[in-house]
Amino acid sequence: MIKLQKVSIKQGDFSIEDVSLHVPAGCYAGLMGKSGCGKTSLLEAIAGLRPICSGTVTLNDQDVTHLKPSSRHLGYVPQDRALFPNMRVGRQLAFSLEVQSMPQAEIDQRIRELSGLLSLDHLLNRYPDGLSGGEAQRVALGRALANRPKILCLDEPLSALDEGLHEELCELLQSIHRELNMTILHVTHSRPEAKRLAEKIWHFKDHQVQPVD
Amino acid sequence: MRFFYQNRAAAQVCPKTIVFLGALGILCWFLVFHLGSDSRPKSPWVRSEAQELIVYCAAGIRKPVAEAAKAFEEEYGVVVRLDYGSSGELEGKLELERAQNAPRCDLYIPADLSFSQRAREKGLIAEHLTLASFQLVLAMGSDEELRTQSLLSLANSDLRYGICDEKAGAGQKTCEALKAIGLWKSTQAAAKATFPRVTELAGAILSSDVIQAGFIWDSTAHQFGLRIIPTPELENIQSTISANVSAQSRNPTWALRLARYLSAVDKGAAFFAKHHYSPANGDRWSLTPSITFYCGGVNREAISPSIKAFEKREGCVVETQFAGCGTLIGSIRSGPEFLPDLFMTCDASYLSMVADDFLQPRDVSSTRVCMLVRKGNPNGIRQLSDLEQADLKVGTTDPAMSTLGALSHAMFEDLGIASSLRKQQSIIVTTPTAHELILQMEGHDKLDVALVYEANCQHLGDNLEIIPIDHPLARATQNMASGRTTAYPQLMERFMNTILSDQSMQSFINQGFEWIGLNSKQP
Amino acid sequence: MDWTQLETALSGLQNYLFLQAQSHRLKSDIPFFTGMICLAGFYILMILLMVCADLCYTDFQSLRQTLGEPEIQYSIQLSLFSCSLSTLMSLAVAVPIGYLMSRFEFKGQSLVDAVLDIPIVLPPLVVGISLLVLFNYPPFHWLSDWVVFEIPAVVLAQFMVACAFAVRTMRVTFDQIPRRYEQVALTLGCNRSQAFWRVVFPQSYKGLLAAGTLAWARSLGEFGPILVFAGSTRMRTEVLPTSVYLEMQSGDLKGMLSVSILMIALSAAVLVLARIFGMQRINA
Repeated sequence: MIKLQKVSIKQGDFSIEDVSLHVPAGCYAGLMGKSGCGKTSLLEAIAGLRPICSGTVTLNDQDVTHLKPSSRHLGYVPQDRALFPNMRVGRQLAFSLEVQSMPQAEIDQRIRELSGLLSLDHLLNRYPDGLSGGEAQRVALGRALANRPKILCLDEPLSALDEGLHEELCELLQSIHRELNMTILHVTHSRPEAKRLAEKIWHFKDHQVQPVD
Repeated sequence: MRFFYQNRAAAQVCPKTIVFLGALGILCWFLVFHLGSDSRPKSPWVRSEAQELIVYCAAGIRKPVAEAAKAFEEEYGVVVRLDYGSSGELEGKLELERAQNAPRCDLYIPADLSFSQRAREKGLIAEHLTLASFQLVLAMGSDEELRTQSLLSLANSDLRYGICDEKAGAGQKTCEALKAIGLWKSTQAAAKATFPRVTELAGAILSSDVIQAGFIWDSTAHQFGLRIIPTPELENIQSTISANVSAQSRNPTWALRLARYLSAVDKGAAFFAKHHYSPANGDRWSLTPSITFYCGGVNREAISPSIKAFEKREGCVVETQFAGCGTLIGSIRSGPEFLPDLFMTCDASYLSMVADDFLQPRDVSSTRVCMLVRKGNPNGIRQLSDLEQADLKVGTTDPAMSTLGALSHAMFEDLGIASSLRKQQSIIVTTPTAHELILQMEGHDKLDVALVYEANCQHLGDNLEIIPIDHPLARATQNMASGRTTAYPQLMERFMNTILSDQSMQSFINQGFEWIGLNSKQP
Repeated sequence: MDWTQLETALSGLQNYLFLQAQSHRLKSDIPFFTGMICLAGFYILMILLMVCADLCYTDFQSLRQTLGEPEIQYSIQLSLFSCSLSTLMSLAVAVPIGYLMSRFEFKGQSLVDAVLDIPIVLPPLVVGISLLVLFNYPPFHWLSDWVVFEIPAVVLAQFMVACAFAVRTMRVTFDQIPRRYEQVALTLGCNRSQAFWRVVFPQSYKGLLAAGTLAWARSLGEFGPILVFAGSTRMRTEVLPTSVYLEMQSGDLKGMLSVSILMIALSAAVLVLARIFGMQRINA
């Protein structure tokens, strides 16, 4: 569950004021809006990467407004994916687990699961440099999912992909949603994409978020 | 501290800005150096400053001087007024002007060195430039038959000859020359006639049969078309024309320029040669000569006033390079094109390293090595051997690389304290020059004693004091010499005289040097 | 320059030449490349010619003689040691300063920025005098016996200047690493330290290498501050630039150039080795 209450963000000339949003638990939510309207900022605010001036952020019934990003237990996939250039795919997947010093055997087990789910087996020894757009997106998803978050925030996950991959990844996202029973907030500028995937759609317009029927 | 992320505008400079700034820089450079150098002494300046020069010139040498002066006038727009008279007469005028405190003359050109010498002794003149010389000869009419080979047989021969009056000019020279070989009395007695001046005698030889020969100047002989009889006895009997800047001159720079012009091998020399004088070996002509001067760093403050004064008086540019003598030796050795016009050392030993490239050196000053200690001399150091005491922290300059260091360490050896200094590791620091040592003494209290030159200690802070060293090695001597390849040997001679002048001496003494230079009074 | 890059450029040149034959409107790129290559070549040639001139002036004999002197051997060792130490110290300081200055904005940041430039702007001699005077005051004065005119003074003098250059380089390096990586690392459960050490620092490796070589090279050339703060005591605080200066003081041009050539060879060797070794690690 993601709940924003009267959240305001101010950053230089850019500002969002009094935005409220409620995504029920287990819902696949689409957040639409033109580029530059503040979708990414809002996503960052939810992830704890951007300070908010006022309002509260509640994730899974916990007020996380003042928690660090690391304590919010959500998966975040930025638009540019930001795969760590110095790590092989396997280590990217293991990253969040290594950070909390999980035993190596468990890490290996989890990587096997993830690579099975996302069909990454053949990529584990590659560096991000050598990955195609679709592969990179799957690795970024895997990295975000490794620590079993209950919430997944996706920032334009399909925007840089061509037609075939687009469909393939849509199915993947749907299966993730189904099988892992996650709350997903999917930010996109494309209406068909939102309609294809989301159960509920919000529209970000004029600094306000409104539900679309 | 802001914790979160913001898009900081990258600190990028637009390439156009760089190009603009670059262009601006180049423009500034152009303005400063190119237009700036135009404002250096050239024609506009010439006209405003140099109005008129008054030259007292011996009548006998009128022609070449007048012609050269005219050329100078035309080239630089300076009016040169020539007053003629006998050398003695003109000297009298100079004296009178000084007595009346109404200086008029700028340049005095007598026909013989004896006049300029006397004028200098009286303090009437300052600089002295040799212009040309002419020789005493025995000349005879061209159609006469030669019947004598030696002056010895002259009195007994039947050759009818004349002499000039012995009081001045050629007559005086004849008298001096013959007296020296004991022939004056007989030659004078056997002379057919005595003439007041050489021109009359030459005229008589040419026009009258009564006088067949006479003792006259070679230039006069050439002028009158007379034949010169080679006589070994008269070979070195000559008179030298010199240009002397009046001590009272109100425009010494231009007076000196005219004098340099008259003596220049590529200017005045031609006029003297044309009139059958032998031109002196003057410098090449340049209105504003530029000379390089390498000077040991230790002399810097003492010598600066002399350089300024010389530049102003001569109207020349001295490019001075102050540096450690080793550095200067390094440049000197790196090629003949780096030879300076003048080199002044920190110690005479440096000049002997490159003696082949320089002319005869002249001593200037010396300075003593001394000990620098903290105010109040807390360690009670009285003499060099006191350095042996334990726990003393000593600084010297590098013994292998600097004269001062070499002298310091040689004294340690001589006093037999070198080994104990080594054993106690008393010498905790060595530096290339004394300047760093003094800095280290003043900047930090770790050093107890530093060995430096007294001449380095003129601007000492009040937390230090000097303990003199009584040892024969505690002395460095500064000397100087002009470069063998200099284009301006005469100018360098005058520069050295300026450095050896009384004012310069005072400056060196004020800076803590001892003066050992001979005074500048020329021989 | 990379060969592949050059090849790309040249093939681009060929393409343009071909196109130009077809269309008159397209202007040739030859002047551009000629200009670029001429300007670049001029500088590179000047450097090489300078080194050549040095080599021509000395001979093998005096080079060997110079190398044989125990004082020179000592100053080589001291130079290598002190430069490496001051480089490590510089990096240790430059990494945090560069990171903080790059990632955070705070009041007085431009002031701090200016302060960081002081060692670059100050005349070298002034750095030396300032250090010397500084060690008159406690707590530095307590270390005076151990530092002033001793080897630590050499290292400290080198560090003071070299570090400023390392800081500049590290700051640019961190500026060029997007913050997104750290952000993602934070959402993946890292604290700031973990995010820095696991994600940012490994990416700054190239910049670290550049900063290190720059600091090392600066330290090797450092001379003014050492002269005042450490002296040039033979077999104690004499480093290679001081040797050059001392040789020059004694008017020994050949000796001076021998030491200079030694310095060139040494620094070239170290920089090339560092680069090869460093690039291997980056590519590994």
